[in-house]
Amino acid sequence: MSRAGAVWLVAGLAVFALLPLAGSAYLLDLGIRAATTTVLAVSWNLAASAGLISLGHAAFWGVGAYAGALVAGRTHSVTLGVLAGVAAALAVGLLLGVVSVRMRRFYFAIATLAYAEALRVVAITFSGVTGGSVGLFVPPAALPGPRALYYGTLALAAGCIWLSAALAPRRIGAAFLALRDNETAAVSLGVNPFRYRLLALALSAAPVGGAATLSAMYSAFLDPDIAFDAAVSIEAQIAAIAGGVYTLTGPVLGALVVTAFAEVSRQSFGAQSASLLVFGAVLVLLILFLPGGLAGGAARLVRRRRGDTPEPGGAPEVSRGAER
Amino acid sequence: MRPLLAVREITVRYVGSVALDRCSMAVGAGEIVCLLGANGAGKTTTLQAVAGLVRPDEGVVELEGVAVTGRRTEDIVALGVALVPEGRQLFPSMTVEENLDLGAFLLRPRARRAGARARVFELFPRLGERRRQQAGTLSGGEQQMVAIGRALMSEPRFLMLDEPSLGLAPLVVEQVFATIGRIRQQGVTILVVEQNAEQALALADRGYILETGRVVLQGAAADLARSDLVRRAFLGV
Repeated sequence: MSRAGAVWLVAGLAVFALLPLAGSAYLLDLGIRAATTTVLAVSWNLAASAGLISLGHAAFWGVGAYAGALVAGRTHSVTLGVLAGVAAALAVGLLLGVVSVRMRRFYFAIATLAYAEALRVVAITFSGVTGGSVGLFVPPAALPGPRALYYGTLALAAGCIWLSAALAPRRIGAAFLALRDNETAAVSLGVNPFRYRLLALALSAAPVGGAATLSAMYSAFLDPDIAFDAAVSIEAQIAAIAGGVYTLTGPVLGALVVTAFAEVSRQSFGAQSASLLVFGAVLVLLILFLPGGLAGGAARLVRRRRGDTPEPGGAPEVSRGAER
Repeated sequence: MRPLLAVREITVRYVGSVALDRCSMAVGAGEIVCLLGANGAGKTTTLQAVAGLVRPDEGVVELEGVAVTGRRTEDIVALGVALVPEGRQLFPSMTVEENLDLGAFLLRPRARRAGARARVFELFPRLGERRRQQAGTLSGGEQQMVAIGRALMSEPRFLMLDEPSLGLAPLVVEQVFATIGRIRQQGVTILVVEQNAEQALALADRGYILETGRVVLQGAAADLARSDLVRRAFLGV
């Protein structure tokens, strides 16, 4: 990670670490949601950076949430619960990756969509462990307070950002990018597509399991529909795309903006369907007019103000390699 | 003398068709060998089978007498084989330098990368000037230079080029072929697939003519250029 990047990360963290001092439960709630969305968006983007477009991060979320909640419930340890959530999501990422990272773009996306749905049914069926559709209460002894939950999720989000930043300039990051940009070329240069895509998916899945565990502790309740809610998968990609996919700052920015915007639209339009409609419309406009997301738009604005000539080719970030 | 590359009776079947039918050929160390043939004759498949991108259904691919049939591409690259794929296949969003560096993906230790890069820039000074430019914005000839340079970044002993003249202006084609000659002088053995038979035969020591997956003619490049088959089929005389 570059020095400037590290400074930004630490400065951002410091600001967000002060949030609980405001003493507002509402702000804290918003902060937890923003941090959770950040984990999702940055993780989703990591897989996307290797050319893996996932429609099923809810699979990692759900398995992580159950594993984390169950372990925390048994051991009464929040830390062990989070670790179990991370480990379980990592394992599921590896397992699903082994059977599906060889698939081409769209087939991979569809497969991930199916995994989340299949796992939801599994969670209903194995009611002995999961409580089935009745659900599962996380015992109060395993529930941290909102402030601890906030700091936990924030730490996880910072970890995700650090991971993405650390991988980008290294061999692994170059392999991810090469596979996304031109798989044929990458393979002929000796990049093992299976190994690196599997790694990308596993690293993308793991933190999601941690965030899911904390989220389950926050609501103290879990059932298959909540755990494997497709909204999780959608939220992950919407935040990443709105902010600027394949960039480091984009998904973070997107997570903050999407969380804030969802809240504003919910408050202004109350009824769920109306707020979702407005939310959707704004997203469509954003993607239409800012194809590189907020990060891409900001970069263009900076260039224009500096009077730089536009990048040769000037292709918006999102379209990079997307044709292939 | 044991050849650097020996392809023994390999057959590659795709669904519903046979791309290579008991095809055999050999390339000796230091040689330039060209592979000619019409579209669909199996030229690209031959290179892909050697590079481990396609697994032959039958037959053996040997590098210096060691069978490498069915090995993974990364293992074959590590043995010193590099492929410049058809259509250049650059990473369009990356800079020239980033493209080149990916060519050194398996080059160990990392310190060798700087030397490899310096040699590429010596061979293609133009790429040195454009090192920070996006590869997708270069001209066709420059892109071909990046593709060749990227393959050389793994410091191969054996370089395979798939239609390096494709889509290039005649003058640029000549430059590309002159470069291939210079690469050979640096001790790299070369196997080149071409549609441009005249240029290829002028450059190569020997050649093979493929027709529907079989070798139908082989020999010294000069003899091939005089043969009736080549004159009729490729040189249009």
